[in-house]
Amino acid sequence: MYDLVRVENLAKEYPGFALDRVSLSVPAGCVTGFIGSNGAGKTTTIKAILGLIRPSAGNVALFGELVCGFTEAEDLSTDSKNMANENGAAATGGASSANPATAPAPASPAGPAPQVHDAALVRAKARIGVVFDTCPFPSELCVSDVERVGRFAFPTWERGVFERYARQFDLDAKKRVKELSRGMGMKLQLAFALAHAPELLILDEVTAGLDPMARDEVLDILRAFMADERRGILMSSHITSDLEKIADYAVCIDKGRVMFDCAVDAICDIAGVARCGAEQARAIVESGTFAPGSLRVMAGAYAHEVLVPDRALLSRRFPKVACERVGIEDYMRLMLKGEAR
Amino acid sequence: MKAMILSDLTTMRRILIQLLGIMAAVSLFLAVTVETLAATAACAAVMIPFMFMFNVAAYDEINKWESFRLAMPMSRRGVVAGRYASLLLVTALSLGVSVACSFAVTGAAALLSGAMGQGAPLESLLLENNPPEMIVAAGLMGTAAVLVASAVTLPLIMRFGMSLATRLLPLAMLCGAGGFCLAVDNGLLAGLLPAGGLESLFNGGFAGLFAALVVVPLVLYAVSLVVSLRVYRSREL
Repeated sequence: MYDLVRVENLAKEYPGFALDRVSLSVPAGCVTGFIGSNGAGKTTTIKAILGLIRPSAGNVALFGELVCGFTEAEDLSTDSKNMANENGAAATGGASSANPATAPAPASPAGPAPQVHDAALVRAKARIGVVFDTCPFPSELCVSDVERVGRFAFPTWERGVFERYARQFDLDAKKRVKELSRGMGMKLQLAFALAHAPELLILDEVTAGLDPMARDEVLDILRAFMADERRGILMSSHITSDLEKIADYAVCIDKGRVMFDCAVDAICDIAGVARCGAEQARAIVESGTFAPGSLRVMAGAYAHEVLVPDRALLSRRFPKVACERVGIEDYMRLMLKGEAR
Repeated sequence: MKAMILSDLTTMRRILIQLLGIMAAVSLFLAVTVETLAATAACAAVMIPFMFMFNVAAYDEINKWESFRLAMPMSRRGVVAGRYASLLLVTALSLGVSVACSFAVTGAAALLSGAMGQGAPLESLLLENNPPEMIVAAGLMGTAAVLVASAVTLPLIMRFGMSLATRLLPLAMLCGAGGFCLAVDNGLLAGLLPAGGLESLFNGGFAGLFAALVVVPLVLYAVSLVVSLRVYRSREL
């Protein structure tokens, strides 16, 4: 499967925070949900993908073209500095499985910084629609001015498409950006992002601040966008219920490291959470039913929660233990806070 | 670069229209109170580009507009070159508007004086008291001041953003002016300056004036562009 976005071993250091060899991908025809707590590194990763910051190591390829990193020839010269991937991700056939995280890193953080390939980046950005968590357009612009900016910037801009979305979202052409509510501002960004026939959407908290009806409307638009299987979406969100509705893969990042990267079906349809007593939890862990390290156990006030990778298997082996479907939110909570057993 | 120029001009369109109105009012006020059109031309040539530069840079920082714009198909070089080009364009247009405005004021003064007869209060604004060369030279002086100040300010804005740059600007100006004075005093610029000193530029007719007010500021502006291209390459947005 062709990757629209491929990030390999991305690193970036700030005082008190570092991205630690983050790898993820957005295959064509897929929606990759990017989740994690505040300050986990989601926006930093997105900025690196868009060339807004310069990573200290790693590769970023967009539409199969390297936009930041070392070419193969350059890799050879830096090969001695490469490091093996020590990513702690519990990868279970996730979005980056097509590009195994076990591939050698292109350059170590101590090595030379990866090169940004400007021309390739500009070409790639023409095929991407971006939505940030706040409406970025200057407050004095009116909706028709925003359309004009898009027309100047994107070679494939379609004015009619923008106007169609503006009508659909009730965006008055004469209304100024500063007069728009947060929700309307997000819709304006969406109209802007979709009006140049992008092949990839990069959405940073696109549904944040929207009421449930508007969120559903946005998700419908994203589903319609994905009707063409050559397209893809990288969607960072705190609202994991939205991701359950639309995402194919979930990549979770915490403190700059990818904690898991797996298919949403593997979470919602296959994995499960057993809520039981301490004795039963211990029995599950010690039964050898699941591979060591694949379980997460969290002791609560009234019960233990055991995250298992296969709830059907657990039910067969422990028919008296209640094992429920797990959502992305609980999965993330148990993966981040639970004890690996 | 073209996208950046058009983006800047679209962003600033309303503000530029407002500035034109304000400039007309200020110019008229200055012309009447100072009783010379030199001040009118210089003031108008300075005011619009300065306000443009600081306003457009301020917008960059609001709601991550600068980051979002760079997420569009623009290169960092294009952003910097476009910003310099849009400011240069606005500066040139302001010069034209300021000169035109001055001539409009003197024309209006002539009409009013004609209607009011000898000894009218606006006689100081008539063309015989404000030769066209003086009006153009005053406008050029304003433009030169804008270009030199922008040449110092823009690299700071490109590197640190508007908020921090405005705090660093006085220090940069002080260092620049101090360095320039020291260099002149110690003869370090002897090869670059005219033999008769800076004053000779103004006594040497139009060529000297043109060099002082157009060529030198444009060269500084171009050098500033090169510096900005370098510093913006590594800017983290």
